[in-house]
Amino acid sequence: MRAAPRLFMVLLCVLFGLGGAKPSSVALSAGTLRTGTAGGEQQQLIVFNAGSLTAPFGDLLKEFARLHPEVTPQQESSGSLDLVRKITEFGKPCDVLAVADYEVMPSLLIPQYADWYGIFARNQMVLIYTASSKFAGEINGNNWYEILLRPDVKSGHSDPDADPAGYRTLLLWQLAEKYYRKPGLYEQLNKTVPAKNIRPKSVELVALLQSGELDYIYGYRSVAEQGGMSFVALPPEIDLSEASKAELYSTVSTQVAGSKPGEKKTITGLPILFALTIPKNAPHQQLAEEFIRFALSPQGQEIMKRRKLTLISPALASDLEKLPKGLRSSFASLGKGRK
Amino acid sequence: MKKPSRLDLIFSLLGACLVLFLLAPLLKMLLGSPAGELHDALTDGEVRSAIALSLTCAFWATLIGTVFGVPLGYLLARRSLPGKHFIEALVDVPVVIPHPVAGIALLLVFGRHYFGGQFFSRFGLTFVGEVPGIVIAMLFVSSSFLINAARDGFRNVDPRLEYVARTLGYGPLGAFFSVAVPLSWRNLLSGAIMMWARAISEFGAILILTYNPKVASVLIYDRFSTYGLKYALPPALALVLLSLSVFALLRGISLQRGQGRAA
Amino acid sequence: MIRLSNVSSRRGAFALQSIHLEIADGEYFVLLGPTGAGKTQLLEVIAGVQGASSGEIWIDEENVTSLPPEARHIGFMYQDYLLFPQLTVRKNIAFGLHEMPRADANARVEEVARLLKIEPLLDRGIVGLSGGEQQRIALARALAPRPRVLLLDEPLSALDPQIRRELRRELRSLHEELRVTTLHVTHDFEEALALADRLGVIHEGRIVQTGMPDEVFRKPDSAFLARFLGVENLLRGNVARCDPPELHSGGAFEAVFEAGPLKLYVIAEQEGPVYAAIRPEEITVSGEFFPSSARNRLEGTVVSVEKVWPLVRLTVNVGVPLVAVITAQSSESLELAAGVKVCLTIKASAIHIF
Repeated sequence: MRAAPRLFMVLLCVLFGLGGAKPSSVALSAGTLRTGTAGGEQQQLIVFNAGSLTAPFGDLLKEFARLHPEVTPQQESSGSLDLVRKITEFGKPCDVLAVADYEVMPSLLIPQYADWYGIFARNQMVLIYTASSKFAGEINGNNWYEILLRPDVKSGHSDPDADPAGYRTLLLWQLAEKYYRKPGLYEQLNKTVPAKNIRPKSVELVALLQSGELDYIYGYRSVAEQGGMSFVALPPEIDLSEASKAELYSTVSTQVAGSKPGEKKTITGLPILFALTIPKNAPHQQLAEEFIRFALSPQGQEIMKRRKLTLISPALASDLEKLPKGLRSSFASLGKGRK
Repeated sequence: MKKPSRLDLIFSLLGACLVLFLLAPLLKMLLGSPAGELHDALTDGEVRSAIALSLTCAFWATLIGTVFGVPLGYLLARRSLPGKHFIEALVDVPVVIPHPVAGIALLLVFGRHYFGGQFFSRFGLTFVGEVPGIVIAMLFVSSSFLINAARDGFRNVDPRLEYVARTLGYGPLGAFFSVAVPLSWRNLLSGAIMMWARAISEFGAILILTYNPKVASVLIYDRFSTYGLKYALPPALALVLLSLSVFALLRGISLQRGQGRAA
Repeated sequence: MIRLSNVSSRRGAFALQSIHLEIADGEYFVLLGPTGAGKTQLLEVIAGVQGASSGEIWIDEENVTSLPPEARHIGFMYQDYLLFPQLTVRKNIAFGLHEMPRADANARVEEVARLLKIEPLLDRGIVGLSGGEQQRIALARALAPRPRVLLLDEPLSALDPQIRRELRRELRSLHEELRVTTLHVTHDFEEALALADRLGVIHEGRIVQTGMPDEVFRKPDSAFLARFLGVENLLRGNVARCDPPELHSGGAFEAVFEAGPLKLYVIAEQEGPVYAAIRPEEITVSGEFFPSSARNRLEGTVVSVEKVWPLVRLTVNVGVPLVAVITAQSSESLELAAGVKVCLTIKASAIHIF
């Protein structure tokens, strides 16, 4: 029956013609969504958060939804860079963005996609391990590097090009070399993590740790505590935990992937601070403000602390002028000439 | 020319929708990468070695799958084994498991502290962070395509043909190779192609076991998260085009041999 | 020779029970039975393709019970031939010759192809061959390795009647030439009678009777057999042309059939030793002879009257016992009973000669 294939082709062409090849800008659709008004209709609250914030923000959203039954939270967890990319490249709608590396805010989002950001928590680099890790009984904040250098001790960190925790490990090693006054320590420690022990994110590293493939992994304290895992606290001079030591941290830097394959960019040491913002095109502005107010309230702070987040209270805003009015009371100024 | 029936109209419409659905994203990918960038991607050493690694590992996985899976398919087709239904269901399970879970499950068997890892390390074979880890991740998620295709192919061969071969002096293995395989080779090839394709596309399970060295799927995702979509498309497209040519070649062989041959 | 001794086998719904069978060297043995009686299963057990759960199988004085099929040196042919579709005719026939050097194998293939008259087909593929051609190729394939015995599973059942008769004759002459011990199973009794040196009947997995063909037919051991055979009047005799010869269409002629004291006018196609079969319904029974077109009139005495309402089966002695079937009403009106004299009228065309 020769009619059928011909008919098929005709239909294909018709459908193609109808569809056209219009470039679709998803951002448009965001604008058509309702902006938060009270009323009986269900409203969405779209939250993008870094992986290490999944648990605390999950709890916050659950409680928030309980208090505001007309709200349907949509939580999306991803690497900080991924989240930013979703907003800047894909125009995906987002009401609240919370990242584990405050740096991305000023460098990638402001001024085109956001006007301000608020720092609300901090983190520190630690060594995570289990009871079956080698020399688990011996290791502490002083002898850690010496133990890691022992033969047959396997350690890993995340990919510096893909995950901030990765390049922070490299910065940590440099700071350690200075702090312990051991020239060459960076190179030695670098050798302890061959390419095969690198994974894109901490979640894969944790799998390797728990299955015994690795003895020690570098990660955030929040991740260790949330997972109920043992960790070694390191000296604040090297673990990028304290805002007051920012100058010390800025004395080290490393190269990571730039904006194109083959390109590199330099990252300078900074304290690890969690930041949030409401992107300019947030579809539910009012609701986003209400949520942030809740998160930074004593009740919200309790919830976050329960998830082992080390909070900075009061939260610090980059630019008080640019803050939405509804949030002025929740933040203090970051000040100190930092962007 | 006969007037198209109602069936032709409805089915063409439904079919066209699906074809369009499959075609549109692929076309968008093709058009979204300017030729220059595609060329860059193809000459980028990292991309090339990632694609080469994907092809190699998929080939090994498919080879292992064939050596172990075709006999299994034969037994499932020909024998009433105890627990046959269980085995058949088991073979289908890896397709359903979320991929990172599959990776973790494999880690718990082939990691250096577990039975599989320790057994094979005696022969100098380790998996986590090594190429064999990629191969077993691929093997795990894709072997069911081959096993099922083999089983169905053998089922379609009249077992009495093998009996005839037996009466003519061939042992069970002889009958297998001289009758069962030649008469089902098209199914076997199709199953192998599907398995190979599925192996190449695997990402989540491989990631857990072996991130470095990077296979194409891992590299593409990496490019995407580090540099953005713009830099992920060209290697993705390169992989798609390469796989497409391999498919076309293999399916062409299978069809060509079909023409002009006794069925 | 083939000997089966207390062979049993069970496969799903099919079971063979305590089969005893002996086939002499060079004998053509036909096993007759309805579908589902276990014929194919029996052949497969002898071939070794199915296992026997008990009993012994001997081929040529060798106990092959525990041997795999490839060690038994038998030739096998399925009803639907099962030629290898991926191979040419030549390669099909040569399939069992894989141990021979190439040249010898080729020579053998040509020899067998000549025997079965399929030489022109040798280099063709399997597609498009007629049933008769396929059957010959399957036979050639089975015979090429010079098997000790030949097992044929309904070899002619898939063919048109015309081809069937032709191939039947060829099987017979092939057997006469090669003298391979043959076990041929079928449900067609004409085929059985035409080919068998000796005959056996299989029913529900058991061998019910064996013997010379006409013995088995004339004296069926069981009611089942009689019913299965459906031929209650079977006579072995001789046919000779009538004097003067009168020809019918299609080469048939009027002839006289003689079997012992019995002489019948029949329509036949060949002279010589034949079987004659008369269906009981075709025999008209009367108290006296009446004018009719039928050429055969026989006088005899009623031997037995069996009432199978609404019919009555009458056995009448006319020199040989013949069975006739009439209505109960007729039987009563004729007052039939053992010892009564009756007249039997049979049309020449109602006597089936083969």
